[in-house]
Amino acid sequence: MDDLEKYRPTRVSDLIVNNKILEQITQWLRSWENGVPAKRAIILHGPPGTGKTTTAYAIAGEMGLPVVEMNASNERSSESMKQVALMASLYRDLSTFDESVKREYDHIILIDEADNIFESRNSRVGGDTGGLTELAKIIKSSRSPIIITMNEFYDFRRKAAGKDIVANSVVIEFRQFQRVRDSDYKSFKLSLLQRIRHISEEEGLQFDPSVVERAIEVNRDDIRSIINDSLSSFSYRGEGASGFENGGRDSETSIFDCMRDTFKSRDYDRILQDLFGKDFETEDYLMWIDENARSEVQETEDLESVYRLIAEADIFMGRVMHKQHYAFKGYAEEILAGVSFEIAKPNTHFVKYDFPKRILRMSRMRDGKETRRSLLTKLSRICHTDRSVLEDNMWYFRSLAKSKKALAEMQSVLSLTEKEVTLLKKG
Amino acid sequence: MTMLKMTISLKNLKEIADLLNTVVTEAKFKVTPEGLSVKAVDPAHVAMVSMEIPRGAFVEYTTDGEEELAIDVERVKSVIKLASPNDLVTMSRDGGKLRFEISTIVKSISLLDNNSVTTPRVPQINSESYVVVSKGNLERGLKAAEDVSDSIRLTLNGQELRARSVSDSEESEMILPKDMLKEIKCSQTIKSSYPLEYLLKLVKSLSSAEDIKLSFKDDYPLTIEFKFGQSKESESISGNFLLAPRMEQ
Repeated sequence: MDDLEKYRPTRVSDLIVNNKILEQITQWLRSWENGVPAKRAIILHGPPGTGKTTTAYAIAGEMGLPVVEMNASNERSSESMKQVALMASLYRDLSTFDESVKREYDHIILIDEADNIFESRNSRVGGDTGGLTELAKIIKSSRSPIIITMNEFYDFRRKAAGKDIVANSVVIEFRQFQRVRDSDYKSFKLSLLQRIRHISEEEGLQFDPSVVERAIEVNRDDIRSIINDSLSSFSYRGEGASGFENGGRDSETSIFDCMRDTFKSRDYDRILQDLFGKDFETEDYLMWIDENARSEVQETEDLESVYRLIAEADIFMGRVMHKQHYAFKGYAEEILAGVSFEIAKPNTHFVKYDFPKRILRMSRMRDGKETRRSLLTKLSRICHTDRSVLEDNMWYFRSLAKSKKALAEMQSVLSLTEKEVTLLKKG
Repeated sequence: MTMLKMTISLKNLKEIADLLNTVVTEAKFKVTPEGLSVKAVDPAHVAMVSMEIPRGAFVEYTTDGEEELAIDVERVKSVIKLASPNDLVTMSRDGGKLRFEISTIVKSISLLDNNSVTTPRVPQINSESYVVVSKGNLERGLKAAEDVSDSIRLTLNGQELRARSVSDSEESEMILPKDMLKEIKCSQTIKSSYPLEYLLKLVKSLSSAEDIKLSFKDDYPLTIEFKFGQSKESESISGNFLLAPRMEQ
């Protein structure tokens, strides 16, 4: 079951997407007919596998327009953003150029997984340096519609350029349904059942609706996983039935899938299988479980035993890291994988898994250190003095910076960044 | 698996690679008994190149069928850096690899998956107006505009060619009167803007050209024809560059 790509819907009518969402997107695209709208980009955000990219392609395909895509496997530095997104946003499209056709725009620009644009001050580390800032600029002048997809909207909005992008975009949450009792949920389930029945007929598989229903319970609105899980547990016609338990994805498992399985599936083998194909580190797994245990576990006693387990795994991790016997990380994983068995009263509701705050704080701290270092380097160059000496005498520059005139002069002579100026004022 | 062996002068191969590399890093060649052809478009669909390399352009050209060769153009450029100006380069297909023989060196690079490189559809273009300018003049005008804006606006009437770039704070303009133009055919004033960086890269990559012919009309793709190698029709490498016009208010 490796080639499900051919079943990716290419027509809007085949999409399994909430009608209200589709209506909002098409309405926005239609608004371009009356001239370039105030908001030239649209953000589609939601969990992986819910059809954001597929929808963008289906809509473009139906309009007969090509898609100019920049995804996570492309470099997305400010330079590449200019080369691709900026060019496509201002110029007509050669691949479909036709003099006799009058169009408001020639193509749709798709910035896929924009929350994975990795920005860093240091261009050696951050391959996408300046990419988001450039995108924010492009959106303001674009003559072509820009669709931006992402999983982590709230983290994205916290970035300076992200905030700017959000302010100039129509924002749509890609949620198929709000609650299980909704009528949206019923139609979502119905379309999925129909789609999966169709695919299994094409592939010669034994369709079993109860498997699909279970897959929907486990995966919520992650259509990709629901379809993959269902199909991989259907048996070929004529063979004996195999259950959902035996099925498994062998593709890379994202941290979100893994969290959901760890907390909700209660299937130890499946969790281990997830961990086997994981695309993250054991340390991350530990921190994600630690961060999200509070929202997942409802009873105090359960939480206590969950933390006891996390602590035990953490002790293992500590020893592994200390002795540098990294191959033993697996033991910590196997302990953590059993976390759901510590929960007597499982949480049946959907839980939004958060990015561990500790990792965020650490990266921010690193950012602060870098700023201090670059500020000191700039000062040391002009003062002909070692950084460490300057560090002890920052009080002098702080008091100097109190004068607006002196600060302005320092800023221009040293070409200080905003962060460096803030640091200088604080000392 | 078909058999393929071709020998070409380094100078021509380098120009072919440079031309393609202005637009793409990967390209797919169509191989027929008559020769090679290639079409490529940049990721933003604003610059396109199509090129024909007839068998006569090669010193030796043997193939016993038709096939496609998807090639990493930048790899080819780095391989031929090993050669000296008067060398001949022999390329042959060796399974999933392309084997280069350059005097004493034999080097193979792997071919790309044919499905991973797409061939664009080339649009129907017909513009009657054109102007032929010396490459030196054009390049100077484009360089002057380079740091001003992302686009350059070409204006042509029966009397002159203007190339102008403006930003909020700066502007740059080149005016070439009729007597400085090699040829001109234009009955009314036409104007259109094009991506400057691509235009400059294209002009620079045409290393053997002395003159450049620009054909366009109002808000319409710009065509630059090129031809190099031998002067005989069946032995020269020829093709077109297309640049997309800027969408105007």
